[in-house]
Amino acid sequence: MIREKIISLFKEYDAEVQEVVAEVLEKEWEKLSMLNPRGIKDDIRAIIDARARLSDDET
Amino acid sequence: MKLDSLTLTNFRQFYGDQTVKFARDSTRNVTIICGVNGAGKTTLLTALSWCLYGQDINASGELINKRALSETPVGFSVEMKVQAMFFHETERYSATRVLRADKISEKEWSHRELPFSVTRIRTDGQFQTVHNPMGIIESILPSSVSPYFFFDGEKIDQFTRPSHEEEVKYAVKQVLKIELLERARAHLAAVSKEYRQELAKHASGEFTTLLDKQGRLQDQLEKQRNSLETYQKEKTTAERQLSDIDERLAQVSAARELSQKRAQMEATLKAKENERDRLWESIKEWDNRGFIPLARPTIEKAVAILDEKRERGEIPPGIREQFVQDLLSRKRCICGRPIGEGSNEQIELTRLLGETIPSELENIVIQTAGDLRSLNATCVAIPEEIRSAMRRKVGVDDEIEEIQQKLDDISRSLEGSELEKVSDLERKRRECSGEIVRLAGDVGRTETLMEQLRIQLQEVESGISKAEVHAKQAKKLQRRFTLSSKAADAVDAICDVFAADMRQQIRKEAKSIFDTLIWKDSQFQDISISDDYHLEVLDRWGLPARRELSAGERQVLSLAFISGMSKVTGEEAPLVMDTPFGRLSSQHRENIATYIPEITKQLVLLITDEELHSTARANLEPRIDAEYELVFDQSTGCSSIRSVR
Repeated sequence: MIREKIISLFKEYDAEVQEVVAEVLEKEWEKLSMLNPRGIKDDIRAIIDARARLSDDET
Repeated sequence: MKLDSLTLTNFRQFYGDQTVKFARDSTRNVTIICGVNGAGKTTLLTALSWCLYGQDINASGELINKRALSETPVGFSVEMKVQAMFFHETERYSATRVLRADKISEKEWSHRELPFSVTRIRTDGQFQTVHNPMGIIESILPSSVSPYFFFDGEKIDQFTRPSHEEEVKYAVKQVLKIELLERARAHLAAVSKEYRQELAKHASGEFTTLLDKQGRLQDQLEKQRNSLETYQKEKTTAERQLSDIDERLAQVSAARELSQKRAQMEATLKAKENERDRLWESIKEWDNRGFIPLARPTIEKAVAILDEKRERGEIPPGIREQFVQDLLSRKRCICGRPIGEGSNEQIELTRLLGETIPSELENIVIQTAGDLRSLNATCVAIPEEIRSAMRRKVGVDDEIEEIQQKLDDISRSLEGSELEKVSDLERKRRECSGEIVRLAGDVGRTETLMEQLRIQLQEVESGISKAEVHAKQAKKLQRRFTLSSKAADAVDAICDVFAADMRQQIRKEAKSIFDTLIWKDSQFQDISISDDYHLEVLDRWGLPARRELSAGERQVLSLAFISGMSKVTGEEAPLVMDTPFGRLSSQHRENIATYIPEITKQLVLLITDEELHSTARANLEPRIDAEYELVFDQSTGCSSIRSVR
């Protein structure tokens, strides 16, 4: 419930930013119980990479 | 999460298998577990925490039931086991944690914990082993949050003890997942930095300069963020020291009266300072509109022109444009006479049409005349409002100065005390106060600097996203860099907004619950949680009153705060409270017994036989669906759980 509330706060941002933030928060949520979540930066890079590939001029 | 049952096997004083089935009904949602001191109430709470999180097991003493240990032959094993059955959403789960002891000799044991296991029992009755048992428990009720749902009632007043802001801050951050945003912010910023460094290798010229500048600004911002955290922690420590000194001064009879007087005056001073800040804000707001009176001559001239036109009957015109047009198009007067082509009537009507104005324009002119008059009134009001607010501010400033002088007198008087203990404490207090003022200044300066850095950073980032990059690889990296920067900035901005919003919601919920629970509700006006998580109760005069709360009232405030948090999160988790009524007077017990079952889905009360008196018990009665008694057997030294309902 809190997670949905947090995600809803990003409504004012670009759809692209909203999607990235929602996916990043999802990953962070999964690893929240870990003190030093391993591989989180790689996960975030993968999210950003996937979203950037959708840009028209790159396809 | 809704607890279904808890089964203890050879856990501490509980010999063999002992089970509690919890009340799960939506209206009859209370389980009572009653026992005398030492019968095992806290052990049950420990067993639940240990089973789900592996926590709270490091206490001294033997973990496995001593009778079970002694009955086990050498060379054999005995198990201590806790199984918690619970529901979450539509599914049922069974969590089991086992500690096995191998008996090497009569006096020697080897302990080992078996892997924690969770089984999902599907609606069709199928059993399914959960492969990441801790992961599923963490996703249902995180371990960091569990202490706010499973707790010792007598220890919860830590939230509301003076200068315990760190506890409040930690609780809010954990329960409301602010850490989630903080982590996302840090990780996105780190990824953005990586992209920037990679991009710098492929870019050149002005673009590289912008990237360097952004890197420097981000580093400065990070440095300031760390400094801010340090200043805030140091300030909290100094405030706690000050609070300790005050408590020690209040214990010395020669200093008590002055110390109490100072506490009241400091509360008044804080209220006055808040009033002064509010007045200053209102002056600034009026001042922002200070240019309006400059337009007064022009506005008055425009109003005069419009008035003159109205007096001459031009606005509104005596005859409407639409009316004349209708007559001309129908070619007939309202009396029925025809208006012939080229007739005198038609000529006159055509002339009149030239004197009318379009109806839209007419409406605009009438509206504008009203607006100008209202603006003119504002022109007159602004200087008067500013003068009035300034007069009030000067008055408040004088009052503040007077209070500060009196506080200085008290401090001098205590420092000059013949009692060395009092003068020493007061000198330390003065140093501590000075430190708090210095640190408050550091906090303010750092926050301002961070705001300026953020603005500069936004400008640079905007420049980077607009800059032309030609190389293919650089273009790719620029897109990723811009996206990660934007996402990091968005999370950064939302983090503070969310924290502030959550603080407000918790304050509102906690206030509502506190009003219901406290018997002296008319004595307290409000609860506040400041930006630095300072939890305060305001008395009927709007003055801070937390220091004056009794231990029982602090417990009620803590309970209101915890319940407020759980309500805001919307987490469906049971509230398991050990000895919740210990320090409370009968009125508070009755209020809690009536109200707490309503704000939680499931309530488990571990209480002594003395805790629930007749009225409180009667209030709780309609909500109780399960009741147990912990029976201690003197002959075996073991406890058993006996169902009484």
